[in-house]
Amino acid sequence: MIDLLLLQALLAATPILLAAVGEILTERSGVVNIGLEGLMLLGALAGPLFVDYLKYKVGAQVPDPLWPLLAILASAFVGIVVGLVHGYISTYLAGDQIISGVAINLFAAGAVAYGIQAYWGVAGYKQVPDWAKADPYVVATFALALAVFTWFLLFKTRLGIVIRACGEDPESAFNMGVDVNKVRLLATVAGSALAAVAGAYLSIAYLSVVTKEISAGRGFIALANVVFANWNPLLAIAGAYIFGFFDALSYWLQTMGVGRYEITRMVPYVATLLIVAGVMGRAKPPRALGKPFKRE
Amino acid sequence: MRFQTASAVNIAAALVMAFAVGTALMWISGYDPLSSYSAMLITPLSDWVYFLSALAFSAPMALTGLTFSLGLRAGLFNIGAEGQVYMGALGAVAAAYLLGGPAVLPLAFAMGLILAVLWSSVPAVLKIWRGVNEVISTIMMNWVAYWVTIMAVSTAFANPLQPEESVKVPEPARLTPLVPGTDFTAAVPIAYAAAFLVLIFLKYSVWGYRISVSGYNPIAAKSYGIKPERAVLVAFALGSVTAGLAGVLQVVARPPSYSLARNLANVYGLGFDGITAAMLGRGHPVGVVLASIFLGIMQEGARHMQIEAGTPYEFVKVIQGLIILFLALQLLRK
Amino acid sequence: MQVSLKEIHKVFSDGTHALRGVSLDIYPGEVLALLGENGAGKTTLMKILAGIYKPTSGEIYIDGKKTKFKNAREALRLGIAMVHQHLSLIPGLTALENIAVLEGAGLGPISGEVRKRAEAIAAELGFEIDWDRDVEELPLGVRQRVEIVKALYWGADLLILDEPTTVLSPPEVKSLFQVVKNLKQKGKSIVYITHKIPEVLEVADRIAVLRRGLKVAEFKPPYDAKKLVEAMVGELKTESVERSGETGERPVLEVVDLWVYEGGRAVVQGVNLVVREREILAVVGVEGNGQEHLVEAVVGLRKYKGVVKIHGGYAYIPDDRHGKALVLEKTLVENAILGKEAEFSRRGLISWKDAERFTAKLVEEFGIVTPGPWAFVKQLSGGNQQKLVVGRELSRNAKLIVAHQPTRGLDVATTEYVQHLLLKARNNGAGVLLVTSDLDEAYKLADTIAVMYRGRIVAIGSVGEMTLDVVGKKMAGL
Repeated sequence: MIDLLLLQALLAATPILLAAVGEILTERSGVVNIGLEGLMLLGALAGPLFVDYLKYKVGAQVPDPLWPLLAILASAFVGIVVGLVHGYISTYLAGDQIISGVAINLFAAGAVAYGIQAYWGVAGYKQVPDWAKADPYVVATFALALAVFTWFLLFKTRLGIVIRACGEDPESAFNMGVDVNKVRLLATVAGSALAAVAGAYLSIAYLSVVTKEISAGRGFIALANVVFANWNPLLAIAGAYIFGFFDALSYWLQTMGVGRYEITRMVPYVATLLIVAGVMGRAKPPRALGKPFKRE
Repeated sequence: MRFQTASAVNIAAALVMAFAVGTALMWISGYDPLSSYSAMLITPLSDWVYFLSALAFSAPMALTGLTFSLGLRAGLFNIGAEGQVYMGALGAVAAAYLLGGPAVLPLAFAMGLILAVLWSSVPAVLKIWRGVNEVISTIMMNWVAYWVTIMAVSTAFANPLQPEESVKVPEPARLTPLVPGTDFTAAVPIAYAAAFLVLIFLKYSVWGYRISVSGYNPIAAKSYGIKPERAVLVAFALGSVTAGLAGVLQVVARPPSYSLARNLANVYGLGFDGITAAMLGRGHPVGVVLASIFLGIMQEGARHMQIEAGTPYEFVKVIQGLIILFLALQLLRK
Repeated sequence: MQVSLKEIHKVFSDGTHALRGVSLDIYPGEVLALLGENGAGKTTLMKILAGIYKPTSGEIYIDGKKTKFKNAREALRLGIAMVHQHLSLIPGLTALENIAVLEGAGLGPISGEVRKRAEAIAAELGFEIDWDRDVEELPLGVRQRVEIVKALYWGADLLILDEPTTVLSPPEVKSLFQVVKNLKQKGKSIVYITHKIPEVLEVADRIAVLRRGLKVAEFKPPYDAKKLVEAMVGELKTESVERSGETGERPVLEVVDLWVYEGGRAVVQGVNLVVREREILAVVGVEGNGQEHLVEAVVGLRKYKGVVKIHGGYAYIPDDRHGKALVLEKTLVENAILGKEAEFSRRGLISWKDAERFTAKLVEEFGIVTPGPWAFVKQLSGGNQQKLVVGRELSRNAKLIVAHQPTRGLDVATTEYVQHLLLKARNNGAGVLLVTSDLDEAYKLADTIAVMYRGRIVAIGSVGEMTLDVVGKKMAGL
């Protein structure tokens, strides 16, 4: 039973890890995106909707194993589009990053509820068919590999140096020939795409449904994980696993019949609060985080 | 951090662009934009009953809009109204469970507001004591509130006669419609009066002044004896009073059920609607009331849109999200 | 590289007139020292040459060609690099990464070439640098060396060193002088910004002195240190301001064994001070020797160990009026009542009528030029903003006035006016703790002068006892 719990924790950790790794990339460049929750929601809808449309409305012939991949790509595409909007607001327009992030969350909440209703004609709940499902363990492995890769990218490559320079001291980075806003825009787009993929994972791999509340605060838990991990993708693995553990624990307790369902559902949120309060003192965000870079 | 509020021109532009993109979205998904918009925006104004219903929708949104606006004044991004609304509603239901007769009404207000204030004290204290970002802490508190409330409604406060809702507020304790046959109860004037009081507080009170100074420049505030931590506490506490009020009123002054739905349907999302109202209303209490009336009209209109044009109810939320997105496009951080 | 600056003016957006027409030539292979007090405009002038600021007017010629820089990058490309006083390495990156940023983005690691070249430049100058440590963990002296290597890596021909010794220990200072000489031998031009006379005597081939935004003198060896000081601080005007009444006995501020820590370092080390009625105590010193921490501890903005006793309330005129004294986005009325909002309120509600009347009185009494009491403070010029701050603070009628750089960045007339107000407050019985790096101001206003150096009061005495010679030496730690 315990080993099952640990495996379940890995699966529960995956969306938080994907979104957190993306957000670390974004925040290391100096942009904050609190729209992760909305991006997850949009991603969770976009994938299943796109492949459904392709299969039944267009009648496309696609080898079966490719369907989930297409779904993930469709989600990533939506993430890229939203990321471009948020990135553009946050860089070239020097707009308000927090408001933009909130707007993404509000828009996504409406759009997903509307999309489920408008496309499938059901109210806020749609089962994902078997042919569109992905193996959650494959995505989980991918997420782990991606976290390691992102760590390598940030700390071992020249691109990583440039990204971190933009987040720490954009003025100096600019003086050394870095196109700060371009780097930030691209990092934001990449981070948003990953958050949307995290959403696709929820709907086509982990939960096998699309609902209008499918993200259930995971986007914000991912934000908390970024702080916990001190903006380091490797530590984000540990963080995601801790958060995932509490998530899985709540389901596990439920199936074991321990405690009330509602109480166990609170566990991940309470744990997040406690963990963030515990690590806040030592958290060291990128110095220019959330501050637009404007040339005079 | 200080957030710039939108100008009238910004808001007009955001509205135009949001409705334009909305048109495209409807067209793509095969609905008729013209009849949808007409049902959403014109129909609610065509009949007194509809309009009073729109005002009834506006009341809780105005109150949660005040929560967010008070936070902005203190430089906070307090998105915890959602959970505080649940707590207010839970307090009202608890009062209905504990007592009978007219005494339920004052107890409902007392318990609802106390619970909401207590709920907001957690992120406030974490912010002051540990520097925890209020965006994360308030969202987590919202989710905890969600499950606490659902549990309470489906166990102790469950209604043995109607499994889908909580115990009901007894009839003598209800704030029934002021205009028979509508949803227009005392909740509406109470909400608008609360906005007026917040206006007086922000404009004339010493603490309103102090909150505003420390929101703009906490260091200057500290240099001259204002404690920014206290300003944070006051902004959180007052904000939770208005949010809690919204929750109480949704139970004691909302026909027909006068109870809390087991899936929280009659309080769900009100906190986030308040963010929209506050941003549209430029964080000013009068603006928040006007914005909430506009949103109330949209919400009342959504019903008609679904019936008349077949466009899903949820579409109004898409439009509202787009409005804020287009506002964000124009708002520059100082 | 031969550089000519012609008639450079700089007016900042807050109205500060930092440079009032400075012309300066810099020749290849020379060490030019730019000498002057804090706020004289040295750094501003060099930031214009380095492309960081744009001049309000004036021209820059490089090797005879008129040049305009859009940004620091263009200046770098032409071989002009500046090593800032508060070093500008990117924190969170290693020393090598700081240099490698130049290489641009790429998926590969830092090429071995970068390390080799950086190490070669460092070796030539005799530097030992741990290239793989986060620059934040490196001692300040090493960070400065990284900056110098970085500048040379870019191919700098003209190196601007801004107050390079502020961050160095005595042995490090010595080896810095050697580095400057080495660089000169390689044909590089060096501009050495400082206010420390012993240093210019050591390194400079030529000295240009700035005072209040003007170049007041140039010197060639052999130098006369006394003349340098005179040029720097100006002629001492003797008691041109009216002063009446002897200093009283009753203390208004007592500071006993005050310690302030920052990042584990003791930045104020056991300071003892007493300010009495009808006394202006000027604390002078090179900036960054703990004065700011002393002030902030006295007014309660910082935690401290020791005793601070204030008798009869205090008024506070901070050094940074935008950051600490005013809310720019609010109106004059709202700013005028800051800290006394309770006095204008009854039963928790503020009477804005009374506040407006009070503001109108301040505006009239202190000659604040404003469209009206309900104008936003950000609409006012820097001088008028400062008058508002000073007016508000003096209207508190406090026994102690804490004034931190009260005239920085103000024009001459406003400076005189603010100084006059402080003296008047003193004559009326207040005690003033004046923290300033402007010696003119200190001598003009003070009854007592204290010199602060590395967190301690190293000398204190009446104006008569504390000659400029003594003060200058103590300020430099001699």
